[in-house]
Amino acid sequence: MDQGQSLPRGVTDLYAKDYLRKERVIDNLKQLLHTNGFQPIQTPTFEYYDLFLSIPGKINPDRMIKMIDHDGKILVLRPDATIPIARMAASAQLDVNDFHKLSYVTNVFRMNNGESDVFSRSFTQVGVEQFDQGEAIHDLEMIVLAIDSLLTSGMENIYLELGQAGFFKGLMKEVDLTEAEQFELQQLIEQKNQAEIKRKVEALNIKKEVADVIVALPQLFGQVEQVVTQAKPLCLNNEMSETLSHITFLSEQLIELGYDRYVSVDLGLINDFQYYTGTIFQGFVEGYGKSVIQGGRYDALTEHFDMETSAIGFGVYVDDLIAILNQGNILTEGQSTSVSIYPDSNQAAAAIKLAKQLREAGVVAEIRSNTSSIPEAGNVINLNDGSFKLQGSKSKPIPSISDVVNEVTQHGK
Amino acid sequence: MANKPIKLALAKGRLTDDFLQLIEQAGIHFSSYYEKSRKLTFLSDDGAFEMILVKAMDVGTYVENGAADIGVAGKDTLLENGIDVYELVDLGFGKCKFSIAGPESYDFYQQSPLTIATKYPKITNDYFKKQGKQIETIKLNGSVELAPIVGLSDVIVDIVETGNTLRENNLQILEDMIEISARLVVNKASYKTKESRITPFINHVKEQLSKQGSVSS
Repeated sequence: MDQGQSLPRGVTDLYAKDYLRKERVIDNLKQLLHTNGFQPIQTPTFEYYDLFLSIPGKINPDRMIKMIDHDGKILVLRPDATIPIARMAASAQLDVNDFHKLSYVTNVFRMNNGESDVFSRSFTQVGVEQFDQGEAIHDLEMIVLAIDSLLTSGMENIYLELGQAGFFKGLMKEVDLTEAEQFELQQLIEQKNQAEIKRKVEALNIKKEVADVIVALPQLFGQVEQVVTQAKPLCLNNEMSETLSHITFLSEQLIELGYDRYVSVDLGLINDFQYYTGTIFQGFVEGYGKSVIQGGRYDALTEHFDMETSAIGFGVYVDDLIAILNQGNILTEGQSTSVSIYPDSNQAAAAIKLAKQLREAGVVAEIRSNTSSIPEAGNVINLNDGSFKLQGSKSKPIPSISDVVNEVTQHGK
Repeated sequence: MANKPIKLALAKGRLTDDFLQLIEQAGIHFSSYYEKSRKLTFLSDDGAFEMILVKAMDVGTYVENGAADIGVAGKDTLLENGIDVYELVDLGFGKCKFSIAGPESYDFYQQSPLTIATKYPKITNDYFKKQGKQIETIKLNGSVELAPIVGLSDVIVDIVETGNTLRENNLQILEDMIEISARLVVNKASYKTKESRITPFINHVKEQLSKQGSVSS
């Protein structure tokens, strides 16, 4: 095909019905975030490459989409939603003693190669970031909000998996490993690859006491109570046991709220982004192979911007939610009632006046021009012969505006 | 509503036969698989599992995308395709290794640029990147041993089981890279959302493996 007319890989057009569906999902989420007190914000579509490169646990530089500025500096299309918001919060010098709740609807761009998933290089995220002092109640609030986001979007059979970055970090304090070695271990733990973890800890000569805990980590998931009981004897320092008491607290509160049925724990959940420092979570929907929500607490990032504040947030992968809705046809579209008006070409103003009156009454009114091909289907007002025709019935003279509105809305039900 | 069956992605061949034997001992039977047919999906006798037959190279892809919940895949295919799944059990069978092979006592680290023919360009590139050695790869789809003989490449990277093919073509293993074997992999979302049905299955498999005394975890 002519290159000028085809699309690059990993991006897509959305036509009327699909886009409407997406807007509706976003609107519902926005409403939820609004009533939770979040202020909407926007950051630029492109920023300096250096910003993202300098962050601990940074995004893979190969996966950023780059451009060259006039002065030779490298720009990238927003590869992540959280980092620019932290930068913005820092440069706005928000009063750190107060706490700030920000929400966003944004496109994120990644240089994914290989698969031709049409959302792989440009996808929409709705999310929140909250700058606070790390109070436990805010962790709880975020978990509840994440679950509510999925419920609001019409998801059924949802699962939120809860982790604590501090457990693994605390464990790593007991051994002397390079960053690269820690990263390799983390990857194996995330694959729950016990066989290779065993080989790795042997190869790294990790003392038995610590090695046993590392090997057990992939198994530490499931119901909160059971995991905490299993993990308690494995704690080697205060940091590790503190994370367990935090999980127990969260779990007790979730039970009180009736949200415990959505939540399970996985201490082997560490996450790609190394900047998470406390509670982390990801959400799944049964029957869908990817996580649809990711979030957590990240103090290291705010430290990087010299902010003396903690922060927690999450992002919802909207395009994945739409894919789930499309699979199950969970969403029913409200069909709005509409009328096509065929004007008398000498009196265009009359048609527009009529259309305006109908629109004010909440009816979708469209002015057509080609009277030679008036379709059989649909509600039609023809100003040429003064006829009004409801779909499926015979045409008659145009009644009063209020009667047209009544008949059309009745008919639409 | 009855639960949908758990989907198992397997590749036709020896790995699958070994694996089916293993789960039969755990009471999961696919009688219909042994009838001569060209079907690609089979329901287990108790209806709890559905097996889908795919290309060996694709097992990981099916599982990563959630088209299958569980799969049996060679470590080589997982590495080559950069598959993101839970790799729960090293099944211990299908053992072999990746090796660099070339003409006898050829010092390939001195060669620059070094050209390597392989079916696995990603694994090859990742390996040499770690060593800090720049290479050129040529992707072939089979009979890789031919490449050094006809001068297409300096050396090859391939899976070696016995080494017979290498010897008959006057090639020699110059360096062993990584050991591979069959792995039981699980989709990350499935493992969380269908945990109560997947975990017993995994435990069955592990139990049978330890009875056989093979490597397990």
